[in-house]
Amino acid sequence: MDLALGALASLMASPAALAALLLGTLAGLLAGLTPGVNGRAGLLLVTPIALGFGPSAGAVFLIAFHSVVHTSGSIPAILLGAPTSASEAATAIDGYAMARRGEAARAVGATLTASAFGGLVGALFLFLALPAALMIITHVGTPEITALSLLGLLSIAALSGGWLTGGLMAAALGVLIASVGVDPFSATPRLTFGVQDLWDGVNAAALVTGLFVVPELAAREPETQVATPPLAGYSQVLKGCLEVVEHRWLMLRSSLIGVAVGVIPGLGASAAVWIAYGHARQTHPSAVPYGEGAIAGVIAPEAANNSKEGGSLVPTLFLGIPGSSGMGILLAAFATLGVEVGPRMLAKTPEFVFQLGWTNIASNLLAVPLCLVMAPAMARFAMLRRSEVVPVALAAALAATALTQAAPATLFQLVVFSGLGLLFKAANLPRAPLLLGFVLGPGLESGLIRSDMIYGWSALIRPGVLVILGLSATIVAASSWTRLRAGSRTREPGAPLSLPAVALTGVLSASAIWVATTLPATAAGILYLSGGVGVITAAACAVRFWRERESASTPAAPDGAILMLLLGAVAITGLVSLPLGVGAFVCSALVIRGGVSYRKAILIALLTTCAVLGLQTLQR
Amino acid sequence: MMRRSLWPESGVTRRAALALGIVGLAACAPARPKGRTTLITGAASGGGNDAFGQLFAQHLGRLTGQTIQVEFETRAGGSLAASRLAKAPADGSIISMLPSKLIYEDQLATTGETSDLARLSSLGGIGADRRVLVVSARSAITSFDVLVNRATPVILAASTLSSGGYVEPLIVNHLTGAKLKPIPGYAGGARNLAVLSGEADGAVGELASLKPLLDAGGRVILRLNDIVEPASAQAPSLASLAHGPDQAALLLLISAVASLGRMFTLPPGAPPPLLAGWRSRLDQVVADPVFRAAATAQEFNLDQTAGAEVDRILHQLFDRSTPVIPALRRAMAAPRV
Repeated sequence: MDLALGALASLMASPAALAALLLGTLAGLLAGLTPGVNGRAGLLLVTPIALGFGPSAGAVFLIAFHSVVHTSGSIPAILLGAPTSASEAATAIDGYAMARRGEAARAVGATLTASAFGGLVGALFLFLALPAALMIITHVGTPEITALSLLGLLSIAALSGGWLTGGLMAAALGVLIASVGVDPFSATPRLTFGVQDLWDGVNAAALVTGLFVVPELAAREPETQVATPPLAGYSQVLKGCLEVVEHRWLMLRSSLIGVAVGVIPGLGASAAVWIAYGHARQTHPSAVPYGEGAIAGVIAPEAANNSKEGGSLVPTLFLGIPGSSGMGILLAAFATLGVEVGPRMLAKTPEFVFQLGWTNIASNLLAVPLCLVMAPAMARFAMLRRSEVVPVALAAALAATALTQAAPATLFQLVVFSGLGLLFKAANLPRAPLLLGFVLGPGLESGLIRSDMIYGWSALIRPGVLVILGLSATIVAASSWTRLRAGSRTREPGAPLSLPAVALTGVLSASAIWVATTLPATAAGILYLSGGVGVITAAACAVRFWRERESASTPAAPDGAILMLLLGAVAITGLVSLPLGVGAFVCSALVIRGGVSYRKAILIALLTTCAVLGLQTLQR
Repeated sequence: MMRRSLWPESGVTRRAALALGIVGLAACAPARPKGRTTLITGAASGGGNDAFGQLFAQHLGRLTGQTIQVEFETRAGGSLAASRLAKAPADGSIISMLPSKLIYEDQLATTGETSDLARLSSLGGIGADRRVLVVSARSAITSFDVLVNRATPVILAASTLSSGGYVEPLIVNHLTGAKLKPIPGYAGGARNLAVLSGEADGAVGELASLKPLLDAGGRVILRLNDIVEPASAQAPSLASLAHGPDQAALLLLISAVASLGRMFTLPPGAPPPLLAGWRSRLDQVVADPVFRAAATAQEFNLDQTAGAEVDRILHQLFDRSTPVIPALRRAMAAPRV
């Protein structure tokens, strides 16, 4: 206790550390708001600044930066509907729906509070549960991580819009997409079509943008009239901030999910967010249906997203073992600063450990007022005409995707996944389970194979596995009981394009099974599994849609002009340069679809182009 | 209230927009400025190789007055970086830093493709690896003798099938009769965590990267190459235990991969004056006291292998008439324990 208080006192007494805390928090919030600058890229960008602070204050700067980068990261996803990572996509589902209903400020308020709460839970875990955390880390093996992946996959039912078969089919396709790349157990290229760019798998940003951003923003939607008085921003943001109290237990459970996933490396950074979102849908009733603007659908993923950072700091700081690539960069930055981390850090400089814990808490607390100052201004984005926002948002999504990997293959994937996303949306098929399959598939495959190689069947009787599987069974039972009590649920109606979408999934699944017959056993297993589930569920979906074809609703066609302009922007990006592609797209789309004057369109296009150029320069 | 446009209605003249437009379009031109060199690194951002590449580029720029731009091409474990370099013009505008583990990948051609490392023009290798086998305290293995006599296989955590952590244990099995069972799929920090949790008994890797295991009570029980450090001084070397017809070829291979460390290269077919100039620049950076001080502060090893020597080693390793590749394939084809 004395050590902890002493660390707080020394943090407060050091002007350099306080300046590092403030600047790190500001830089983190700014990086989160900037498309294409996620936690990892942001850390790389600010490491030189941290060097200027020296070892101690530099470490404070980096921890402050990393603690809050996710706090503001979901705000563009809510306001523009343009998530650029799998984590943000979960928040965007209900957050963007709230923004379209004129509740952007409320969503932003809830996001800020949930993020700060999650961050605090993560920081407290770093403080209080250290001995237990180290014990957990050193007793969790591959079978437990695999069982956790299975637990995460239970969320498929919750994410399927009331229709499990469609969700299972989408999840199978997600696992199939995740299996693209070189199989680590046989070194066999799998579904790479001879393209070396695909050896490390598909580009996650291209998948998220194609699956969610393009279909949502290219949808033809009427310009709804939302009455939001100019001064309503603050009151709505505060309302959102306070509303999370009603969902406090969900927020706590989601934060604990985030901590658990963060402290145990191997599940992937996005898994925490999706498991928490699925958990909310399974266990937390909402007056507004999930997917249509349920505030709980914003609170749960945001709390988990920030709390996982505190959890993932435990193995990084105390064992010197990074649980994710972001933590790897943080570790490298610490090494550059000359800060020693690992088991000896606790013995040699315990006060410094507590100082970093306080930094984590302080930056999360500091982020809330800083964001509150900006929130009403940001929420005014939602007041803009949709036809003016869509070109800029799509351009930001294109830039963020292309900046992850400047290669023609990235742009090609963006086009392919956009086509898939448009088809699934037109078919009323759930897209969230596809992303869940993509996020959890690799861990599940690797875990199953390694568990078999090391433990065999005895993996199933390990205490940790039994506890997690028991928990899974309890959740399934509780969820089924809740559904039974609630009576029959509405499910998504069929649509004329359902059959092509189902046929495509069926053909892809069958092709995967055929490819699997030519591969070694370790590479083939996941293809047989996902392909088999895909074929069976596609057949079931086809039967259902055929039976209901008379009552199928006809969805609105997407905006063809915007899509063609976007395709042109992708072509220009590939053939000439990204800034030119983005600028040309924004200018033409604003004139053609936004009804904006040429002069304003050119100005906005130039500003967008300059922003992209700035990001490219920073990246270098 | 109607939705309204927030775009500015005044204050921007056509001429200002036009000027901005010209500036913007000019900036969009994808030209490569003269005097700029791109250093393509085949290492993942955030790791030790990434930090070394950044440091090297910074001091190369300082000493030569050139602008050095670092680009990461981390995919496929560095193979894509090598492929990109192989297609680049040999005019000094592009150089690369490649991990020497690509040698295993090329020799085994596990993915069906090779990087043609022997065709590249080597500038030199920096940072020899100290390859060791570390076992955890929980494994109850106290020496290599105990390991060899153990009835059950010794499970080692490894990243990929072409990594040293996977290939080298199989070479050790082939040369000593040990029963090491490398399990791939442990990327990044997961490898050390698997050992700490008791899931794996140990790991083969660079001594510095296994430091968390040593801090937690682990011990070095075998040195795979001949560089001795205090932490590994008590352990026997593989050369002292190896036997069999493939002994010389495989010891040469392990030693070569370890000694090359980070390989700096120009594209294939670099003209001799250009190659000599760049080799001299590499030597200049490594000899520079400021660079050496900065690298030592970050615990980077600066053992250097000259460019001509790297070329000789690579040609020796990839020469089909030598026994290296067949010996490696025999080691990899041996029945798994």
